[in-house]
Amino acid sequence: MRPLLAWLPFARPSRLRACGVLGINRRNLELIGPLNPREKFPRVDDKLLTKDICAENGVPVPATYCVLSRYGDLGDLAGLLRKHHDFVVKPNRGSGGRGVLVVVGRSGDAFDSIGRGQVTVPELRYHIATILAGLFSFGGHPDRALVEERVVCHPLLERVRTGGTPDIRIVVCRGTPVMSMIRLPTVESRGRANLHQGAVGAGIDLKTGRTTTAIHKGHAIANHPDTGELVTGVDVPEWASVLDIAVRAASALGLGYVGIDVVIDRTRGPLLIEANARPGLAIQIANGTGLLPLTATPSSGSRRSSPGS
Amino acid sequence: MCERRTIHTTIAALVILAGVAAGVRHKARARARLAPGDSVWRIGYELEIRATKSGARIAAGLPVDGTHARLFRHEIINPELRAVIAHARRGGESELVVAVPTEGIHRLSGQFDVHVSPESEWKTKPPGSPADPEERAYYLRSEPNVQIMDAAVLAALEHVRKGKLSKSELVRRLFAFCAENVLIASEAPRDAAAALRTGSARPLGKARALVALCRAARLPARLIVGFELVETPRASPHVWVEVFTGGRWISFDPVNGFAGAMPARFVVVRRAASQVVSGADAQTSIVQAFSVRRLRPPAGLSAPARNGLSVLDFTRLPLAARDTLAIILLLPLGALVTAICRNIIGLRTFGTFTPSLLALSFVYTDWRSGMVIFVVVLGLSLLNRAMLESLKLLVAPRLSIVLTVVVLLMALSVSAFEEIGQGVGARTLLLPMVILTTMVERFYITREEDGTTTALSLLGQTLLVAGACYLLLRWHALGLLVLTYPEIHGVTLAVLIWIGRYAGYRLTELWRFRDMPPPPGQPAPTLGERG
Repeated sequence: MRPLLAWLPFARPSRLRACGVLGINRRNLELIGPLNPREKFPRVDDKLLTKDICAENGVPVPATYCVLSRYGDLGDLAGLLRKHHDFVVKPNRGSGGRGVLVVVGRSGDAFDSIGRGQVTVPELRYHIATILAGLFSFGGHPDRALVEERVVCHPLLERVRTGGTPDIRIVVCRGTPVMSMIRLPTVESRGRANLHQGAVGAGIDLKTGRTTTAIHKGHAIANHPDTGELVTGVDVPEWASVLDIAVRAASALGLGYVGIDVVIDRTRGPLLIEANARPGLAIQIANGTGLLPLTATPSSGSRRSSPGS
Repeated sequence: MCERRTIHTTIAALVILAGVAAGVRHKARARARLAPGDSVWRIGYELEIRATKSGARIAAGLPVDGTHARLFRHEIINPELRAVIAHARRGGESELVVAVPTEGIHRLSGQFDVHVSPESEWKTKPPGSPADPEERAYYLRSEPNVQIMDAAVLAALEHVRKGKLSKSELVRRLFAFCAENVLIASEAPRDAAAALRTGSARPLGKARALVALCRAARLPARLIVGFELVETPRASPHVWVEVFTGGRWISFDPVNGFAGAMPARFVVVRRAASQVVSGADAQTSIVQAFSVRRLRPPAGLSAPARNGLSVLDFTRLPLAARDTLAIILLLPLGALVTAICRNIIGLRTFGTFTPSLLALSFVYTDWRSGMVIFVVVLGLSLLNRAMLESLKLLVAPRLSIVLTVVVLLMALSVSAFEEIGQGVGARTLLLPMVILTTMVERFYITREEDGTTTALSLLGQTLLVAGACYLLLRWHALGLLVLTYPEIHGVTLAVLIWIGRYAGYRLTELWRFRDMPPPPGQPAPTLGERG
């Protein structure tokens, strides 16, 4: 077994354990299971509810322009959106950036979007109808569509992204931020801040708020693949309030192991956009460190102390 | 953590329970005794099909379960033919059905092991009564060899039917008339009219004479073909008669003179037929050879039991139910394979049960045609799905359209396979329709959202897991083992609980995190540590 593993490009389990890498099975069994009560899941699966709970607890969130929950609401779509020059349409229960449409401006009757070019009103109506039908929601259940304030990229992050707005993921375990990364959209990710869709992930030093190492499609990089700018050593603006938002949101949501996603708006500063009760593990690769020692229970000897095992 | 303790206790309890139950069953099977007078026989079939044209459908009757006889084991050897066990349209007996794929000579052989118990009885459903008029008419019809309107037949009936007779009395007299007036001879006629006219017939002609007389008297009657269980290397099928009177089918054997019932050593193979194998025509000739051999009773075979515990014995079920259960009982192992692939190896699939259910549908067709149909239907449905995108439809109607197209394509594939002489059987395709529809949708969405590479990779992984499940599901010996010892699934449950609590790394994570730098204060990995 050993020679085989050495020959194949696999890491040995013992080495991953030494690196403190958290695997998906252990994450599910030992963190999500005991720390995130099932009845609290709707609070993060329903973005509107997340925003309401967080706003009540003093966490800044993007303004909600309107919520569409019936096909009948779509008739006067143009009227509903008349006041807004730019906005974001997203499924209330979507995940992974699916079904999110970012409108940055207008040209005549059509909307200028990121990633999809010009979108006409009927096209937008169809897009919202598919959201309502549940195409992007977990389990395909009927959903609501959210139209909310578009976050404008902070100038300090302007040069390390293409298309969409970078977002910052902070993993909060038992009320303490344990790891963080910033996800930078690329041409390949079509403006979305998702690592598996081709966005860049850069680890952030929790103390300084400065990016450390970065990865793109699983490989370490130093420069943004599109802009060529250095993505390591970038200072995240208003880092202290980013951390403050993460801690406050996690406690308001009542989840013991949660990924908080924050974006930094040019004028409003850090805003919470969503929370994830099953945060992914790629953050470990972006940071080059494992989550295991950071998420272990304060009394890690509890397993040994259990009788009979 | 008492949670951990509960888990360990549950796993141990399940394994021990499964072991104890299997042990008890094994002991009981070893102790099982046959009733006095019981015997075990093997009927061998050797068929040589000479076809000058492909596509002929050959059907061979199998020994039918009766009150005193039961088919408990079978094996079919068919190197190049695809044989399926189906139910006969009339009578409902199991038949071995083979579609001749190409012209030329094909061989098919089978062994059918029958347990005969003259003293005790199995509960069996009696052959159905010809209730509806159509079926009644079928058993009263005139045939080229059973001529009920022939003068000789009518004259004989006239001769027997004197005075007022009850139906059963009339049958008895007709039977006696045949015994006395039709003598067995070689080179004699084989049809009813000639037998009654000349007074001599071959055994088949004598049986037909009785059927013709009964039908002429408006009594439903039919031929029965079967075997007499007497050790012989060259057995010839025996034909007798069943007449429907007094609300049930009564057996009469004009050749051997049994009236009212057949001795236990005669097993029925087909009803309403005079031959064991049908389907020969001008282009297809079938050379048939049968043998009957005594067997030593195998372990576990027992006399018909009448206690409530026999519910726990799946091996007592009729052949068709046993064959289906042997596959269904393997499904949990398919799910186990899927769980291992997902949680220990780390493969991702479209849906949790998609691989097992795909594999199940491939077991029912052969995997090559199944694969061709799958790829063609998936490909064309995806094309259709892509075209639907421009119509901008809502989800439910759109999915229904995909389903409609999948169904039409499936029907077309069945027809196309029939055209090239490779019948796949439509019922086998019922299962994957809905799975395919959801797969088309998921594949399409994944392709749109995460790119073609991800979608194809997911599809490949799904098929990989389905392949593993397929190898497991078609393992007939394993299916029979689980059918005999269903308590094995206690261990399956224990393993599933263990996997459910497996907190270690998945194999794919050893790849995903292969470049993780060591924690500070530790040396960098040497070359030997990873290649």
